[in-house]
Order: sequence, then C-alpha cells, then structure tokens
Amino acid sequence: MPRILTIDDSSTIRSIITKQMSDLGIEVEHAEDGQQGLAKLGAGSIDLILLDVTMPVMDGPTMLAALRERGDATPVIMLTSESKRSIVSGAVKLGIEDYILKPFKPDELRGKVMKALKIEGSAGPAKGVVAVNPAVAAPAPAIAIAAAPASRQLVDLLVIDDMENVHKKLRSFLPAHISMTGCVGAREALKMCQERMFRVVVIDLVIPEVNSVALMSQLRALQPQAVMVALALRSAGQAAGDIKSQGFGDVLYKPFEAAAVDDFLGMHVESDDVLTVDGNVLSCAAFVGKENKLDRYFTRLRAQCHDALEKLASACYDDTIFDLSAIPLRDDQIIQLLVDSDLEAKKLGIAMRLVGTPEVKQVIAAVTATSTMPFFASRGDAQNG
Amino acid sequence: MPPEMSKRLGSELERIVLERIAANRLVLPAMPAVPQRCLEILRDPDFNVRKLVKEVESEPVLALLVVRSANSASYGGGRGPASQALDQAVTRIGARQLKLLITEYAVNELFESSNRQLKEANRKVWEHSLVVALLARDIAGLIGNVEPDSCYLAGLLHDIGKPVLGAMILEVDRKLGRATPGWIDVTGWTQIIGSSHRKVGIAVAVEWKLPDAITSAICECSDYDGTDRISVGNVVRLSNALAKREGYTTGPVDKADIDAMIMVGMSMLGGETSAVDLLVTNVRSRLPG
Repeated sequence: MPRILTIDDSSTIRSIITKQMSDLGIEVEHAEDGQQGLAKLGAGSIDLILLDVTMPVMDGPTMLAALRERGDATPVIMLTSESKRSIVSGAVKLGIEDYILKPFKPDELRGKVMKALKIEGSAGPAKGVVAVNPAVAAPAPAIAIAAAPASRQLVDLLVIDDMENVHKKLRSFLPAHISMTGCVGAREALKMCQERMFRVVVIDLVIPEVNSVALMSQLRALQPQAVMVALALRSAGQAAGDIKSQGFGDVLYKPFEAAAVDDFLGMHVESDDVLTVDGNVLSCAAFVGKENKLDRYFTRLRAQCHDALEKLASACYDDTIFDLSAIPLRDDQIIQLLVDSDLEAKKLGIAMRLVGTPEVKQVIAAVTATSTMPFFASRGDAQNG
Repeated sequence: MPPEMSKRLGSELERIVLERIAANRLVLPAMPAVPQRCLEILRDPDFNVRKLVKEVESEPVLALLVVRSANSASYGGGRGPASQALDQAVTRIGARQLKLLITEYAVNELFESSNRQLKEANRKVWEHSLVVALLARDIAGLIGNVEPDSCYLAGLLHDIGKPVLGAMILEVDRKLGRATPGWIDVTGWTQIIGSSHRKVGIAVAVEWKLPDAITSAICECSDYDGTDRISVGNVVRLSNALAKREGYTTGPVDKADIDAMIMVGMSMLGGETSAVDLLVTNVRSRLPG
C-alpha cells in the first residue's frame, strides 16, 4: 500500500487529505510542520509528500531544502495557498513533482497524487482521450468534471449550429443506429465536449458572435480523436479546399442531400470493417443501417474479401472458411460476392468452405455457379469437413 | 562601444524614461484616428452600420481586413463579390468581433518601425503576443467562466509597452545624439524594456481607454491574482508562461520561473494538462504567415 506524508499545520486539511487518500487505499502519515515532517521521514518509508508552505517551527521551503540536502529524493507535491512565483519557483528548483493551490477540488488532489505515485487509471486520460478537469475552487465552473474520461459516453455526431432546424434536418438523414446530439452555441459545445466523446464534430461556419475556426481549435483539444467537419452554405460557394485549409477535416454543405450525407457517414462515422479475419476464418459483419446502403456494404465486403484472401495466401494458407452467418439476405449480392471470392481464391490456390444459416444455403443452392461450393452449418463442421 | 559604457547609457535612458512616466510627461502614441472612431461607434449597442462602414471605407487596409475576415471560413465564406460587400461583412462579423479586429489593427501599427533593430525586436514581441493571445482564447474556452475574446485581446496587448518603450528609447537616443545603430547591446536593450515596459503599457491602456480586465493583464504578468482565480489576467499569465516555454520569447527566461507559473496557473484555473498541451502543440500552425 502506498504511503504519503501530509505536512500541514491545519488539522482540517490533514483530515480532508486522509479521508480522500484512504478512499484510494493510500495510507497517510501526518506532520504539523517541517521539523516533524523530517522526523517522520526518518522513521519509515514514504512514497510521496504533500507539503504546505507557511507553517510554524519550520516552513515548507526550508524543510524541502533540508530534505534534498540530505539526499532524500522523495517526490513532493506542494499543496498551499501560496501562489507567489518566486516561492514556487524556488521549490521547482528543489525538484517538486507538482503543485496544488488551496482551496482545491478532490479530483485535482486525487489525480495529481495518483500521477505522482504512478498509479494507473487516474493519472491521465485514456489513450486518445482528453479529459478536461476544470476543477477550480471558485467560482464553480459550469462544466461537469470528467473524472473518469474512459467512461465518457460515446456519441457519433455533435452538430453545432445556432439553428435548431439544422439539427432536425440532419437527424432525418441519419440511420437510427447513428447517435447524434446538437447544440446551438460555443459554450454548450465546449461543455458537451468535456462530458462526452464524439466521433465527428460538425461546426457551422456562421454562428453569430462565434469564430468557428477558433471554436474548432478549442474543441479539437478536447476531442483529439474526433473529425472536425465544417458546415457550410452551398450558396456561399466556398471551395472545400479553402475551408479545409483552416484546419477542418471535411465539409458538409447545407441544405443537406441524402447522397452527400451518406458519403459523409461512410467516410467518417460508419465502421469500414465489414469483414473480420481470425486465422484462416473470414467472417462478414452484420449490416446495420438504412436499406439503401446495402450496396455499399457489399462493395466493401467484396473489396475486403479480396484483400483478406491475398493476405491468407501470403501467410501460406491453402484453405479458408468463409462464415456468412451474419450476411444480409440479398440474393444477387451474395451470389456476386461468392463468385468473385471463389475466383480469387482459386487464383491464389486457396480452397474455400462456406458456413451459414439455412437461408443463406438456400440462396447459394439456387444458382449453379455457387451450388457446388462446400457449405457447412457451423465452423466446427467446416473445420472437420 | 565598451560594455561598461553601454550599461551606463542604458541606465541613463531608463532613468529618463521612468522620470517622464513619473512626471506624467510621457508622450504616448495616440490610437490611430480611424480605428478610434470605429470603436467609438461600436460602443453603442445599436450602432449605425452605414456610419461604421463609412469610417472603415476611409482606411483601405482596414476595409480589406474586414472583408477578408468576413470571407474567411471563420465567418462562413463569401456571399457575393467581396469588394462590394463591406456592409455585409460588417454585419456578418458582428460588433464584438469587429471591436477585436479593429483593436488588433490599431495595435499592429504600434509595432511598425523604420529602425531595423527595433523592427526585428518588435516582430518577436508581436509573434510572442499573438501566441499568448491564441492560447489565452483557447484556454478560456476550455475552462469556461471567462470571456475568450477578452482573453485574446488581453494576450495581444499584454506586452504593448515594449514597442512603445522601444520607440521612446530611440527618440531619447536621437536627442542624446547617438543615432548610430548598435550603441546599446541587445542585453542592455532587453533590460531597459523588461524593467519598464509594464508602466508604459498601462499608460497606453489608460490612454486608449481599454477595458479594466485588459489593463490588469498588462499590469502584472509575473504573479497570479489569487483573489480572482478565473480571470482574464490569470488566463493571460498562464498563456504567457506556456508561450515562453515553447520558445516564443523576446529575451532570456528562467526555466524554473516558467515551470512555476505553469504549475500555479494550471491549478488556479483548473486546466487539464494534456488538453492544454494539445493547444500549445498546434499553436504554431495557427500563426498567420
């Protein structure tokens, strides 16, 4: 169990720290001034010191200097109401790990202590995720604290446009499984980006009193994983290239057109992975989306099948199992996919066995070109067969 | 010139400048007339667009700047021929952003100099100020509860005393009859400006009737204001330290001082390190030119 030493002449501060650290499973030792602190450090091993500045008998900076002079490199977080640069700078020169200004928020204390102790899970945001912790004592920010960034809700689209009708219109073009939230102003957008994760952030280029490029830059810091898309008026006639040169990843034009929204979703929101490869087993993913996008799904599936077969051949596989259990039942497309893939497999010297539901079997059996392909009810059967 | 003499002359110059400030004999640059009139018009919440357009039109460079801004992606691109759309541009940009744009234009003029050395020194100060302004605006957006545009302007103006003081030093130098460039070394120059520019900056801010929040940011950049944690001044102080850490500086810096300012600022404002670091990382790409 990690042990920290809190050196502060305020018993209230010491007890607040003890309570918060105990919740994290951290043992806390106490000292009322620098002299007591040095004595405690001599008595047992301490992993981290929380050090106040102004204390009777021996103040924080004097104690820190004495500590370093005797060769003790225990990490120190300065926890103080002292914000003078000259004092903190002196402590920096003596190698403090971090600094917390009193009064402080529990999250700031927890985060910095766990970072200093190199305890995983709270030191920083999860990979690719930025958490903003506006944990300040006063005045209370309007923004909720993202204490556990990894658990932030993932939403596909955030649309920022001062006209709510734009949100409604775009929503009407989206398939049900695509999640979307909208807001009308910059402040609301910043708040949302601190609370949730988005795949794509769509920002209108004309929001009253808002510089959309500056807003995009702020949101990018909060959502580094998200694609920033500009929402522009088609009649403005501004070339996508010009808009992208301002830092946007893409442009979506108003009024919306179904095909353009589809392309946009295909490009930025929907997963491209319609085929998974595990060893020599290829499995097609279930189709989720609007009916009119089925053709796109099969186009992608055919392309990914070609690539996967080439990779299997490169890895010296001479057979493959193609699991069609989740494939949507579009007869013409299934037949075309299998004829294509079979041709490619034969060219590469790979024998293909199919797995699928009785409905898929029925589709395959109805066409001469595919009826002779080896078909099994399960992967186990295919492996044994 | 021997370093000792240069040092003595530097001290003498500093004394003259400080005396002028103390005796209220400081000749400050006036805000250029057109921007001043524009800002006066914009102070009225129901300002007359035609009146403003007329003023802007009288300064072609400013007019071009306004139209170009309105046609940038930030404001949704151009609708109609840009050269004929000044009134539309003014409407599209809005009063708040126009104030920002016009003040920035006026400030930029202070950084112009015919003296080569001063021009180069001013260029560095301008670049530093722009970085501080960009970071201040973004940090304000991240932490909330403070107006991003005020932070931008305060960041841009926090070192306004430097070019003004630089020009004053040149003028004093001419009066002393030492017009030879290079009479004072860079260290001496930096020292004089470093020690006195804030006083000059405040005088400019008062003369130009800048908002109190901005004057406060100019007033003190070396320590945070603990009585008003989430304030324009504190956002600028953190941004100033971050800019210096990234090398956008006009003179030597003490690394421990910078680290201390960043640590205190992050805790005071509640910024999350990785988010702020990301802002800093891409700031170079956002600098004009």
